[in-house]
Amino acid sequence: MSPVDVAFASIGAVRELLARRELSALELTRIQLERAESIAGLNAFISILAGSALEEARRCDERMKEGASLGRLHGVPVTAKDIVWSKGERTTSGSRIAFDFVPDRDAPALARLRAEGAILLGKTNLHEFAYGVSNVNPHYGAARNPWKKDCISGGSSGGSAVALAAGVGYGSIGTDTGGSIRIPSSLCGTVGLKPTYGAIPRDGVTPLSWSLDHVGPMARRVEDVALLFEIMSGTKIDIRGSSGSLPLRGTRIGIHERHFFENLSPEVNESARGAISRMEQLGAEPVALDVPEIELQAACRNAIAFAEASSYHEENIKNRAQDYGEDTRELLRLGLLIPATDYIAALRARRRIVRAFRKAFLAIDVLVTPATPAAAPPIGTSQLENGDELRFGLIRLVGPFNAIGFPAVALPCGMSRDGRPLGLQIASSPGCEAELLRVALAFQESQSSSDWSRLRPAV
Amino acid sequence: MPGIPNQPWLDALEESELERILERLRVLREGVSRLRAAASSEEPLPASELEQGR
Repeated sequence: MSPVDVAFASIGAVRELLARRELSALELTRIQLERAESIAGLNAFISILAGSALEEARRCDERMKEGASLGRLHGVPVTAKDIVWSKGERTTSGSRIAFDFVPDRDAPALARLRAEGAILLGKTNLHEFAYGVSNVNPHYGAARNPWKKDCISGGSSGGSAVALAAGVGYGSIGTDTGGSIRIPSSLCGTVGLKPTYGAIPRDGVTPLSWSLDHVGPMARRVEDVALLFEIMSGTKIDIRGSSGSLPLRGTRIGIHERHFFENLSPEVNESARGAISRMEQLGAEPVALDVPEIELQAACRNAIAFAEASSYHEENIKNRAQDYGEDTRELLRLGLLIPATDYIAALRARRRIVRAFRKAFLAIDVLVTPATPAAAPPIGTSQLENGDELRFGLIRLVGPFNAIGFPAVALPCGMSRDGRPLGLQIASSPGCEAELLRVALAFQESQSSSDWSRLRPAV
Repeated sequence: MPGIPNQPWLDALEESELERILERLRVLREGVSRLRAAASSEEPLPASELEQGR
């Protein structure tokens, strides 16, 4: 296997290489660190942890030589968004405010990966304090899309998606408050899971909005995301369904035309509907769905997110406003003006919205939608090609699942004619990650011979 | 703005930023008024009720 093939391999494939001693953890980590350095222009990383990563790799190799029992990620390099606390390593949250914050412990999500033998390669770039969707960071530079370098990566977990798309790291820890795992996964052609609210501990992750924050895994392939989810959540899931030509036989896939299929770019519309047709060919049964309460979720989510974010940042936004980037500063100031009664009104509406979706999801196994209404736009633009304002548009299709706490995964479903990834979203009822990942895996495997799925970005 | 207590830091903002913030606040509060009408018989839903799919 060439170094590039090794870089883009699945977790399962690199574990086999390591187990067969065809590659040591040290060699693999060196390949990955060289690759991380080679993509410096993409601004995927805030910190590359070369010294500690090499040391961890040496220890992994020693344990293998000793014949010790090995974890499920033994010697596998991963990354983490730089809002996830890492013991003894600077965790900036993409900000000037927390420029020199060094946590005294790992976040449980990271600790669980390390306990299985994962090697932390570096901390990835993000939108400042995860409070935005472009990942144009005023302090650490814009994370650039590997498929088209003048385009945004999407955010806020943009650096994680950029690194994965460029073949750096075999998984990453992201966070998602209004789509921040799924947006960059969609725009960069990777896979990202926002699990059920609370399924992975939020402890040790600098908060944006406690009621909407989710921690989740990102990777290049569905099966890798599933493995990382198992480890990070401490649960066991089985995503292998029936084999044969109809792996989705009997699976009810919900199609929600209102909201989720309105005002899409033609290419997104075509690829998402094409994905649904493919799932039908695999045996799935489409079910039309309509939840009118979808119209309430944006105001509900915004009132909660703006108020909670400003509560967390209250002291700093009043005393160190100049240390925030312009867009973050403005949102934090806005949040200071939201009356408590509006916040409570949003929490009351949230109950109605969740109840409506829980009832609707009884008729389906998964809901299938596009992940973003358009492909990645150029850096600096304020509008998507479907006409949506950038922030509104990128959150529109993914944000509802933060409001209701249901799990949702984004994965690639095609390419625009000029070579930008297009993303699909699959959501399910709370606690049903195995179901949505089973459908995602079946779809991914059905695309393995498509032209677009074999492409790699030229970095 | 009606319903917003006066805060000293507001006076220090540039006029253009203040206008943008107040416009966004106006849009948000319009949305919240629709939430009030739609959820008048509901109790607040704390996030803890969503924990792990409960």
